[in-house]
Amino acid sequence: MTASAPSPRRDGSTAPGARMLADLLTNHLDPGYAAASRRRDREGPPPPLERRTLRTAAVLAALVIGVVLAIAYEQAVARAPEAARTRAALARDVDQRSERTDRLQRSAETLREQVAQDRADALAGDSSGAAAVTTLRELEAVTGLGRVAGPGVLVRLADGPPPKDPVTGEPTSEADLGRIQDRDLQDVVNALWASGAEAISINGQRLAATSAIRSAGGAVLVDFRPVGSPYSLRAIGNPDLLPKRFDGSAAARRFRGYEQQYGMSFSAERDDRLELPAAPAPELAYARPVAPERTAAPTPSARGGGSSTRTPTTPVPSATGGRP
Amino acid sequence: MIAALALAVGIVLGLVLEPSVPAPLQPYLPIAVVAALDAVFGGIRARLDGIFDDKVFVVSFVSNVLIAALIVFLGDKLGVGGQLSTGVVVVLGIRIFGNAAAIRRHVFHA
Repeated sequence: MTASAPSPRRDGSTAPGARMLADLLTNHLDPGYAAASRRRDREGPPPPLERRTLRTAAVLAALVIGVVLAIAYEQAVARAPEAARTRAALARDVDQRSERTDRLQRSAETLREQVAQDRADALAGDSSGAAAVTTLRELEAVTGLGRVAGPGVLVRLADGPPPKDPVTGEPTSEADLGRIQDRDLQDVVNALWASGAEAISINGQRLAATSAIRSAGGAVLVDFRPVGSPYSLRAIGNPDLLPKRFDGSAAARRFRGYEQQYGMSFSAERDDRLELPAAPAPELAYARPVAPERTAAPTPSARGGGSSTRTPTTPVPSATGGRP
Repeated sequence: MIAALALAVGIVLGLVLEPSVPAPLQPYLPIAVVAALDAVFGGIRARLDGIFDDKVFVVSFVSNVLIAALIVFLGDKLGVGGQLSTGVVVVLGIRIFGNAAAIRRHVFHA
């Protein structure tokens, strides 16, 4: 004991962790087998009854091991397609719902057109009615609820190429700096408004006063509808001033920087014939229209129809027209 | 030999009957597989070394599975289940590799 104590300390190999690691790396077989074999050599084989019991137990254990391995195999095989199936089902769900949304959106648009047409027909009878229709159309155009056309600027944006591994050329999982985010679109839209745009659409989605551009996961949503690269923003405004002003805006300058830095593409061109769809009508859950004062006409343009003699009747059609 | 036969029968049984694992036991399945493989390779090697013993085989398998399950269970309760599972897999994996290498030497003499 006293003689052997210094030796492990001298070579230092028997630090507690090292011993354990060496054991782990060299003695793979359960030491029990060697011990049992020594015991058998010393005491002879166990009595037949015990041997048979042990043999049965070993067979049972082997059986259990086989079943466990088979279950694990089954599970591994069953789980992979299940994940893929779930994914496919979710994707199908999303497709179906967005298709349905598109269909409903289209039908809402046609119905709205029809309502506008019917209203125009119903009000066409007298001059005050015609004036009310004109007012309504103008209001709809301003608020984004009606289709509009006119000259303006067409801004095109597209994501840069995804980051690639410099060695293998495979796409990497690094942060994709060349991707256009919701904030980028917000900046461009704000720059367009600031440059004097009167109506803006993103990939055919008209922006109204309450429109939101935000992101969920990796997707950019405009009014909760996903939009994707390439983005085309159409803005109607003074065709001489709007493109020029937008070109000088901070957002445009920044995007030209991004173009060189991250490979995004960016262009803004004057376009003399832009057509913008209507935005989905916002649902008023709590706000109710207030009936206008009897003496005040709804808007200045309604008064311009030469119907000053009939002022008391003017508010009525526009009030009923605004309610549904 | 009978044990090897039983192993094959067990695999066939498992594949044919497709017994379902209760959900609470599912996290232990991978660990049980690794522990079972360790027992199997240990048993085969001991057999080739000529020192196979039924009792050691049974006890090593049962205790391996139980201890591995206990470690994972405790780890889950303590919030380090993943790390402890990794530890179990590493230790048993090294043993499986070592035993497989010994079996290879026995079979191929290389």
